[in-house]
Amino acid sequence: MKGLLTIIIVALLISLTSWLIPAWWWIMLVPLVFGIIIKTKVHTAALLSFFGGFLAWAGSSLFQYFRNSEVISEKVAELFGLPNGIILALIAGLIAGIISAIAGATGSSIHSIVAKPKKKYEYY
Amino acid sequence: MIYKWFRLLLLLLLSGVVYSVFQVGIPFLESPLPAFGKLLNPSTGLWKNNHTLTKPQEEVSIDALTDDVNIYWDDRNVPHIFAKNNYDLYFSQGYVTAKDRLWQMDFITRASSGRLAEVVGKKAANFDQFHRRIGLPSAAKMVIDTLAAYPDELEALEAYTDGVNAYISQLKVADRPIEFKLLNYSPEKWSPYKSALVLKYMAWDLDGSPSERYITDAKEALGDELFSRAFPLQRPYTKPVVPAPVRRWRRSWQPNTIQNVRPISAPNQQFYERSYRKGSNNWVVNGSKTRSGKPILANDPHLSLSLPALWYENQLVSNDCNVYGVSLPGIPMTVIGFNKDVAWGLTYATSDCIDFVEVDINEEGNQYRLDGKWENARITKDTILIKGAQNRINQTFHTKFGPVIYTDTIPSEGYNHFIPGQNVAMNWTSNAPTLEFLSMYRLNRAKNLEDYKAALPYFSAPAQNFVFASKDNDIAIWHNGRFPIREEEKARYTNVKATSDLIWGDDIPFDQLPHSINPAQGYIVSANQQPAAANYGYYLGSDDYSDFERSSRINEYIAGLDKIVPEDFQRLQLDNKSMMADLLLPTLLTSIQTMVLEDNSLLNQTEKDIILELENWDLNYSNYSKSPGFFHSWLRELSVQIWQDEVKPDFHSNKYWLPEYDVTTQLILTNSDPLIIDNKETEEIELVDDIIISSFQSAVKKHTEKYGSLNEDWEWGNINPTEINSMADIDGFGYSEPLITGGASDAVNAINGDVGPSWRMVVALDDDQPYAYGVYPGGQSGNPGSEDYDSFVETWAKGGYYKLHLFPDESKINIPVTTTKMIKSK
Repeated sequence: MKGLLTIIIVALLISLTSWLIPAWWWIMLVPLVFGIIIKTKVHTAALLSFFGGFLAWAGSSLFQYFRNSEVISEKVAELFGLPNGIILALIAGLIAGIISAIAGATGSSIHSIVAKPKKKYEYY
Repeated sequence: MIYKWFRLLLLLLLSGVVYSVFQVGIPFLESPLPAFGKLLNPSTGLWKNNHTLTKPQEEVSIDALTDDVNIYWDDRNVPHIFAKNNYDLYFSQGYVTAKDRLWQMDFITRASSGRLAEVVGKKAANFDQFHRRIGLPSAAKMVIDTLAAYPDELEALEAYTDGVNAYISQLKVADRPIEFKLLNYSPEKWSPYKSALVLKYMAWDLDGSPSERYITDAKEALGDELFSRAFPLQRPYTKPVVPAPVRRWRRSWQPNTIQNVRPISAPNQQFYERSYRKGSNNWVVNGSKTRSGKPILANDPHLSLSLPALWYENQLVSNDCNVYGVSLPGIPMTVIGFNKDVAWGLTYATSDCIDFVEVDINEEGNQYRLDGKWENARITKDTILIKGAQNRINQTFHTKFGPVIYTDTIPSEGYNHFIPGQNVAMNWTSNAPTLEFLSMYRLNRAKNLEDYKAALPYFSAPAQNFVFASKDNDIAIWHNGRFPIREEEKARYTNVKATSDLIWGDDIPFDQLPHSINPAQGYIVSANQQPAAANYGYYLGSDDYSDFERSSRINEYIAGLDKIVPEDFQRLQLDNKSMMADLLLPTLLTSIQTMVLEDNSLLNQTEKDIILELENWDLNYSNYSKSPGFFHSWLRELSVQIWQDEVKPDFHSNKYWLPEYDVTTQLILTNSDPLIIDNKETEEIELVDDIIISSFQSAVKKHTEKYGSLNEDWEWGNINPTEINSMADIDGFGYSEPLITGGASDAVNAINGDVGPSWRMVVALDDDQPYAYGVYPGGQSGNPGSEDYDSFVETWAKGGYYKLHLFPDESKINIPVTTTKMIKSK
């Protein structure tokens, strides 16, 4: 439950920040910062970031696909040899997820060095 | 702890790699990967390139305007721009063209200036180098320098520039055309120089023919006497553009008898076949032949069929101009069009405007031999930026005959028609400060024949047949452009000795160019055929003129019509009749039928079926007909069998220009030269009938090998499928539905693969307002995500037309429109 909430928060943050400054690298920056400030295991941070990134990009892409971007998505899908624009949107989500996961893991591993570990054994 | 640091280091490294790959792509690959981060980003990426992007804005506020401008978009998204002066008019034209076609404008100017590799990578480096070397960028610069003396036209170019740049400066990253996102670069500021680049690119697109090199070979291969039979300057069956009689002009040079020609060749196992693919039709009739009693003019330029389309439709209104027509994105004004008083159209003149001169270059690479003495060359250097690779220094060697464009000191594979080691300079009429913009400016405003005549002399290259009609019932055509006065011997072939007499002097004076005003027959036809009859005094040359087929079909059709209405000319533009088949096929079939009567076993069942198919052919290049494809195979086989044994045994090359089919056809029909017909490689004497049957059987064999036995694959639509590809060959961005059009390069409906009628226009002038119809295979928008990207294609393919609205003023707009108000901000 807590994980799901985190995913939604990451996804929302990515979408909101993109709305302010429309740059793609929010899918790196948001999970990175999230990883740095929130204490989780590195692989958990990666997993949560993955789903956050995926949700943000696949969701927004699919929304736009169905609203008015079907024509262009189909054409770009054909360019990359994909069967259709929906697959393209899902792949965009997948790519965003992977990038977010890397960034989230990086953030989390910064956290693990910067933050003072209370008990060493927590990591084993 | 070390593990954590190590893990962090790895992750940071990975993040860095991921960031840079998604930020800049992988440019150094053969097919560079786009910057996927930007491309797929939901807030700025491809998803934003939907149809809403290119929708007209309701109101735009602009500082630079001198007054308010109203733009009315009709139901096909054609802008009708109403401005109060020319600055505002061309500003607005630049603005709306950029809105619809910004990437296309950028792409063409990059191609023209040799700057494509900057954005697409090393695969375009040779293309860039070649286009720099032939001089497109320097010629464009010269044009703009010269325009300083012509303030009105310069203002048009500057206003257009301001308009394009006003559009670019307000353009958000998310709203950039998709191609900028795919290639990861930003739109650059426009300039008048770039408009000139577009014009120069079109000039090369039409003029850049290597024929001179191959005709030189053909002369050597056949020997002088046979060559003059095989490649006559006067093409058989052709009715020239200018109806007889042609006034004979006195040559202003003395014929030179010294042979200054040596063929140049590269070993190659094939026939050189020149392509007729790019060309055009235009024709005009005066009131004596129309129902309305007023002239009707038609034009269809055959150019590359692409998306975004080559043309952009618009109506342009200012205090001294109200014109409708098609423009080339990147150039203000209209190129082909009409106003309430006149209409005009263009076909490519096809006359010789390029000379090749082989030059000896010294070892230091800074001098060349001129008249036997060493002469200093001018060497220019520039740098080609290549995305993802090292820059390349381009060095061009300039002679008095023009730049050395073919040379092996710089790579040019794919562009070199000569053999490595030869340095060939090119003299080209367009490599000069030409003033075509002045002609266009004046034609857009022309009111009568005198205005038309006053507009034309500024137009140098690419030379065109300018067809004209006015509501005063004047019709005219002018074979117009710059043609240096030269003798055939020097102009037609590659010159191997660089001598000063090859440097161009005077041009053929404007009033001595082939032209016709109000001819007695009441109509004029041009279809890239030879412009004037044999008694025209000057050498205009060209081994690139089209044969008789299109022009004779148009002549035949118009001659047989009376009380013409625009629909007649629409039908004619869509005519698919093969005149070659009309002329030759009956003779071929009769010959075979006679032989079969004598010996029924002569043909097998398949061959008999094919003969039956041909007998039932209506002579049209229709999509589903199985005959046209085979007829072409047969024609080729006939030509090969007749001509291949004529090559001199000591000819040094295996590449050989097959004489044109009109010449071959004449040979068969007149049966006038048994020595050529006979195959010298056999002991028997072959007669015409022998060649007809053996070429038929050989064509059956080859055609069957390629397409199987008489089946659907033989259909013309399969052999010559109509294609509309993406301008930059981007998969998915072309037209993907099958196009059932018929047509062939020899038919009036000259569709040949991805080249064809790029704009069909029929204009009927009248006392008050003209009635005009037109269509082009594309759509007004260059945005692949918009339905306006290819919205006219289906209509075009079906042979439909749209009514073109030339509104006399804003109060007369009687169709639904969407309005953009361009408001001068204080």
